Amino acid sequence: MKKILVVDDEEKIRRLVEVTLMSDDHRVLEAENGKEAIEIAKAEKPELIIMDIMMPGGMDGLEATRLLKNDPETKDCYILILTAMGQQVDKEKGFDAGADDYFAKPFSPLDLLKKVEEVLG
Amino acid sequence: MAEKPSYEELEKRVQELEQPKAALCESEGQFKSLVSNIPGIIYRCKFDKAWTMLYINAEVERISGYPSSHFINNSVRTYESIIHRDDTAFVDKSVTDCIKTNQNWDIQYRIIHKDGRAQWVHEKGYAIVDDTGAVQYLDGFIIDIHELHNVRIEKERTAMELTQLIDTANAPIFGVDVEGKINEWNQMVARITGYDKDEVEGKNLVKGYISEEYKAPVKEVLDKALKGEETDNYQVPIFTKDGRRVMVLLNATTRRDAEGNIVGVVGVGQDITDIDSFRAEMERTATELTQLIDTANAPIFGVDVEGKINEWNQMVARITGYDKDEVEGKNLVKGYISEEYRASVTEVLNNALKGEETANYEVPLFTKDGERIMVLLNATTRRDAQGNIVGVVGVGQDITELRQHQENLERAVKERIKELNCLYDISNLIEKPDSSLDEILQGAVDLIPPAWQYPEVTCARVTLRNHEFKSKTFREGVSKQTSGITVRGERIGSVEVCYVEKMPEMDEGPFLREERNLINSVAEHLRIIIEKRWAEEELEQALSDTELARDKIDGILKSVADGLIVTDPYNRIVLLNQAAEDLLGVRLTEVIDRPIDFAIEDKTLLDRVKDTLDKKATGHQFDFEQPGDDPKHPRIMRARTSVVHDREGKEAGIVTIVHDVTYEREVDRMKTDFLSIAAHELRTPMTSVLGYSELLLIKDNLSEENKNEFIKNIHEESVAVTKLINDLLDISRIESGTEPPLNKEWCIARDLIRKIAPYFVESSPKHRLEIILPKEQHKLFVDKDKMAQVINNIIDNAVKYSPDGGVIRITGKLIGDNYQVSIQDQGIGMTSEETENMFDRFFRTATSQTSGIRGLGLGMSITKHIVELHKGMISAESEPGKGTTVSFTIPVSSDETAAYQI
Repeated sequence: MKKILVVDDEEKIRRLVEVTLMSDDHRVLEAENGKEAIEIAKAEKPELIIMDIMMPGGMDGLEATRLLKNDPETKDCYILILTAMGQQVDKEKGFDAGADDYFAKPFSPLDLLKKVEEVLG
Repeated sequence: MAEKPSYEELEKRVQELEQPKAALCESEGQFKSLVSNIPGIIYRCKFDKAWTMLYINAEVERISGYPSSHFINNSVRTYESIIHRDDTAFVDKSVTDCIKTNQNWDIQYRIIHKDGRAQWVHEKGYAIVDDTGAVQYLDGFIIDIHELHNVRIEKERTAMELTQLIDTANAPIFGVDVEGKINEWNQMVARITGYDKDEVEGKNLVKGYISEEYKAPVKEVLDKALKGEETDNYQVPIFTKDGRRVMVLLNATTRRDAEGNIVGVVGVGQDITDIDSFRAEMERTATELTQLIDTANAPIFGVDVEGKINEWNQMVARITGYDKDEVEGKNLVKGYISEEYRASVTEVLNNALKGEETANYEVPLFTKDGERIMVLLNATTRRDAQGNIVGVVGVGQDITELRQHQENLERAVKERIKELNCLYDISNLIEKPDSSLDEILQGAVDLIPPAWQYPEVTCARVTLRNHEFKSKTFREGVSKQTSGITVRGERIGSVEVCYVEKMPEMDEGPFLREERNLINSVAEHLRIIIEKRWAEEELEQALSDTELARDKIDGILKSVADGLIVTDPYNRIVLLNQAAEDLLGVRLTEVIDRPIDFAIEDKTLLDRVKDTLDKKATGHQFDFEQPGDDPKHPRIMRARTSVVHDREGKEAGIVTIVHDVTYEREVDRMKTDFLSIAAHELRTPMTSVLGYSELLLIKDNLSEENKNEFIKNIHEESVAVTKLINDLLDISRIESGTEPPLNKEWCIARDLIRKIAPYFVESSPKHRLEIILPKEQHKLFVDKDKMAQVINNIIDNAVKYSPDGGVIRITGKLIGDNYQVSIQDQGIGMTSEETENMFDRFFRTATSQTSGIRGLGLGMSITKHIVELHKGMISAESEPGKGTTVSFTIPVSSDETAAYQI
């Protein structure tokens, strides 16, 4: 049973991801902002974190990604950025922060599922 | 000269003495004493070449100054050496010739005395021959003839001078010999008589040249003179060659020769013919004088010692009107001098009677018809032949006319002075610095009549194009004189002078030459004044135009917010406008004409500016940062060059415009941000729409519950997208000015607000909505939908920016004529800067940009726009961490005004 952490301030998006990935093989965890994401990631050690960038509460997704990737406890976590900020610069910023892959909103749930299954093997 | 021995005897004696020695001394003594007494030089010399002197007595020293010893044996000098150089040859030749012919020589010649003067001597000498006939010695006797010679010369000179004197004497001199024949006839006689000396010489004076009746007495006079009886002052008539008889006053003098023998008569005369004619002339003159006095052009009168008139010439008669007959014997002063002058005239006459003459005394004389005439009088004492004072003669001059003339002259001068003053005053008019041309012309016109001969009937007018300047009394007169004023080739006006009454016609018409000249001069003066004034005005206009243009340009340049740097082709500063001065931190006055290096401190900027300027091309540009008020936010400047060409197309300089592009950049950034935000904001809801709808499509085993949930999500996010799109459309319409007009209708404020609020209670459970509204039903005339949009937007923001929830208080109240709605939250708040800018388009707070608070930053901008469309105001107060209160007002309308507004 693999753990997937979805970080997004938009409840509807978290729900969409959750419903998309819902299966017997994964457990989907949820976080509303960066801080919460780091706490849960440290506690649960998810295999995959699907991370939004723009979030309220003082820490955005890029900052959270950087911290997670610099933390030995969580650096092996596969981090997939899922953001509406779809420009090339934003993508680069994500990879600079240490993200493993990048997925733009709006997205096709089927494509996301395929991507997640690919990552989780 | 004393008796002297012959030379032979002397010779004999000398020889005898030489022989017997015994007798020698005695003899020599005798001889010496003998010869030494002889007043003359005795000498003997050898007949050799040097004429060696054997003996010469002491007398030689008296005559020549040299002692005899000098000559003996020619020891010091030879006698020949003292002979005058001019005479040496003559002496030598004479002596030699005489020796040859065996004759004695008798010669006169000069010797040079020791003291240098020439001395005439007379030498007689002979040669002594021996038995064979050969010359042995020369013996000679030399005497000093110096005085004799001088007397003779003097005599000759005197005779010559006398002859000359007689000849040229001013008096006629003639002489006759004992026979009565003429032997002297000097030039004067010749001149008087007309006969030359040659013609008369030897002829009988009496027979030839004395008139018949005088022949006897003249002969008698001459005869008397020949007897030694001289006659003085005898008048002899002499005939002239042309037959005239000339009277000569003659002194007949007996002429004697040196021996005193009577040899003739000399007549020294005096031509008295002229005296006779002088007398006649005198008589004639006297007559003429009397006549002259009588007919003289000057008034002449005379009074006797009693003051009674005894002379009264025609002129006086004419002037006074009194004939001589009427006035003769009457007292001049009493009868013909006016009362006040009697004393002084009496004094003048009395003075003249005492011999004191008075010149140029003005006497007033009464004429017969009572007129007074001024006479300039010279009172002269009158004497008789014996010199006794017998009266006074007054020679006068009628100066009445002179006076008249003088007065005329004075009047004319006064007129000219008046005219000159007029011109002078006109010239002065222009010197007054503040006077206008009109004032000058009026002043000139007023000056003309007083300058005229008859100011009371003279008037003047100056016309200048359509303007007219008249003297006070101006009206078209009977006679007029005009002079045109021509400026720059165009006749622009004229000066006119009129007489309002007919004036006596002068020789030159009503306007004298001087007056015509005056008018012309006035016109000329005015021309100069006008020309000068025009030129000044044009200059002033030009200057003012220039200044105006410059001011305009300065104004434009100043108002240009862009910095303007004008440089010449050598990169020297020509101009900086205010903005450029501020930008560069220098004043134009400090850097004008200096290289641009002086104006720009920043090296990098300077290099870039110079680099750009050096390209000398239009359109080069670069951007640079300039520290602004906020050190964190430098201003962004864009410099852009344009080459300025002068009229000939030559490169005159470069204008560099420095434009502050900070705002444009900010707007650009905001637009870029906006686009990215807009994309983000659209993608977020679209993610839900797309995701959930796909799930609905691909998932077969969805529960009804899930299906409903998904559809609800899709719907909600579609509403959000719609709202975004509406905002964008609103902004687009506002920007392009194509908004639809407000759809205003009456509504009650509290109803409007209450209708909108519940939506939020439902959608935002974290927030508690408080609505405090007055009970009064305030009527608003508004577009309800737009009002709802306003309130929605503000509440929406309040919700968004208080993510932790809290109270959102909506308060309505009436303030004056306005209904105010305030919406207060307890959210994150804003800085004062953010508060200030929150109504700007695309504005989003710094936090909102990173915190995921959704929005395009359009809501508040649109809100403000709607409030302002309703003639309301919107404002905000905020404090970070405490919350924000946004208030807006809408004017409340009474029924009447509302009705009117509809």
